Amino acid sequence: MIAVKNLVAEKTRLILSVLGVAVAVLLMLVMAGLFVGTTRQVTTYIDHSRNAVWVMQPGVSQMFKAVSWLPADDRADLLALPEVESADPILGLPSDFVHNGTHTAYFVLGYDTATGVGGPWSLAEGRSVERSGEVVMDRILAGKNDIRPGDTVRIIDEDFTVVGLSNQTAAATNYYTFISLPDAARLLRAGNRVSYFLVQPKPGVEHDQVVRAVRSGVPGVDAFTSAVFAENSRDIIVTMIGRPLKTMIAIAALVGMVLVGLTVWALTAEQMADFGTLRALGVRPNQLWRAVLGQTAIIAALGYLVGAGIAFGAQVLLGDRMGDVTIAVTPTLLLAVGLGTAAMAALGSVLPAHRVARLDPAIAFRR
Amino acid sequence: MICPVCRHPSTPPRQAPGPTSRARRCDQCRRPVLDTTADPVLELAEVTHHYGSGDAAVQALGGISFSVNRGEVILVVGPSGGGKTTALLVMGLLLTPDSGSVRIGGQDVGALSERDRATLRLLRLGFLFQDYNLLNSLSSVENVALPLRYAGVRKAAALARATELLDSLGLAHRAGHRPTELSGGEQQRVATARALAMGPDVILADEPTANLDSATGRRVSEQLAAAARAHDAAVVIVTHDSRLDGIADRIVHLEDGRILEAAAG
Repeated sequence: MIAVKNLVAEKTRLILSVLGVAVAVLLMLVMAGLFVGTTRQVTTYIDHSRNAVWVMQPGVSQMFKAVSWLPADDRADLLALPEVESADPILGLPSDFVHNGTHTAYFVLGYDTATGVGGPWSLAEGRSVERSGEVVMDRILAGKNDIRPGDTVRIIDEDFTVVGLSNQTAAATNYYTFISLPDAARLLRAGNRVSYFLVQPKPGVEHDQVVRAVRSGVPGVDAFTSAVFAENSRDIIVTMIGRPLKTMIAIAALVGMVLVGLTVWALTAEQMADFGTLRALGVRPNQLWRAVLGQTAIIAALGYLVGAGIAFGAQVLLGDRMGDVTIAVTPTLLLAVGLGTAAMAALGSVLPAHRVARLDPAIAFRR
Repeated sequence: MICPVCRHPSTPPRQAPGPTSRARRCDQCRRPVLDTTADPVLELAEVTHHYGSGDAAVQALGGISFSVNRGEVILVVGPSGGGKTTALLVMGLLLTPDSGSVRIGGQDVGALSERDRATLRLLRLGFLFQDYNLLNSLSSVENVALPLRYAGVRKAAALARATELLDSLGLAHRAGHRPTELSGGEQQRVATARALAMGPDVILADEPTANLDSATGRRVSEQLAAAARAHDAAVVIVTHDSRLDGIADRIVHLEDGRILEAAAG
């Protein structure tokens, strides 16, 4: 009773305390959500490859920090395997998009416009590439550079006409831009080489079977399922950004703990005279701990609800408006941060509870 | 015996007087049921206490002895530094004396743990402070009910008891008000109700009229004495206020840590 009454009696103090915890929770959720969102989104291209088996140059196990070159003629060898239904080439390299003096890192991808395999899977505007000299750009990259369908843009060292803008093709400062396979071969000086083949198994054949068949039946290539290739690629990104982001999450958690601790400390300090009176009246220390812990739990719970509510609401409202940066506040993340907040509250109340426990009840006579 | 909180007949525990944290409870309101105690309800024998040590040691109590019977009102008077507050802290189990014995309800408290001393304070003693020490976050009735709730008394019974006590002190209309909305006299009467709430054996009051004007102080003290007598509780008032002499059954003069004389009030 006293925990709630003490908190409600000073509404400004309660609001500030709750906001303090909410900021800490928000900070943790944003950081962790950024980590989850980025690692989820970064493999968007692989994730949308229709569950294909990826065939690549041996030694290449992920997409972002390796370059795969394969002879285009390997396609015939792949199609000769009894497990393979189709094998579609894609050719892509990271490059630098320059528009009106602004430089942006992006990924140029050439695909077979006849099959559409490896091309954009969702268009926000316009149409897919149909002929040479046309490009479909990522919607976010286009937006940042004020580019619309019909505009002319320079891809590597040639001018292209933008015919469409694609969705879901921006990931962690990487933007996909789609052109025809022959255009890509010419721009990237690839000759008769491609980067990957996207292989579909025949009906009734498992993807793992195809991987084994490719590895044993086609010399000079390696193969992975989409899931494994995406996981490997994600791991590279986690390695690159994981440590700084995890450090920031840890700092946010620490700041949160200190905030909760200071809030409860200040709250307890303000009530020390009251606690002294209660001790003098005969209230036992463990009963006062409960009051302190009750106050902490209320502040932490309200702070968590406000912080998580803001984070979740912002995620829904913002959607993918931030483009290449996605914050994914997942139920698992909410649960984890909830447990983290509880831990913060428990740790933050240790010192105040200790102080109350050691309180001399005689102070009631010395106010 | 009758439960002092809900007036329900209760059977006291058969064991010897002891810490009440493990006592059985009133079936009606859940107040711990204590054994009935014979007089004196409070007894100090040859109590000494020093502050500091070595050459810097200051004697606060130099072997005082006195006892308080149920329903008695005793004033402890004397100059500042005479040992009044130390005596009050000792009687309130808030300070362990260097030597001598303190008995409350017939029980020697010297060997009790801090937990049991706290339980004894809650159940057998009531406190009245110079600054009232009401919790500003609670209403009058909640302040009065607070010790009852911490003793495990059911909420409805605690609030009923608090309301009844406030009513008896003429504060029924102020039950829902917070301390900051009350006058000094009203706050001290709420504090009196709180001190009486558990049905204590003894109420210990520290300068209860110091922050009140003389008329209010006199009225509040009379109400305290009358209420305590009505509830069969003893009252020990530490005070400088000689105008309270009239309400006392006995006056104990304490100077330099010694009782100079004890006179009838």
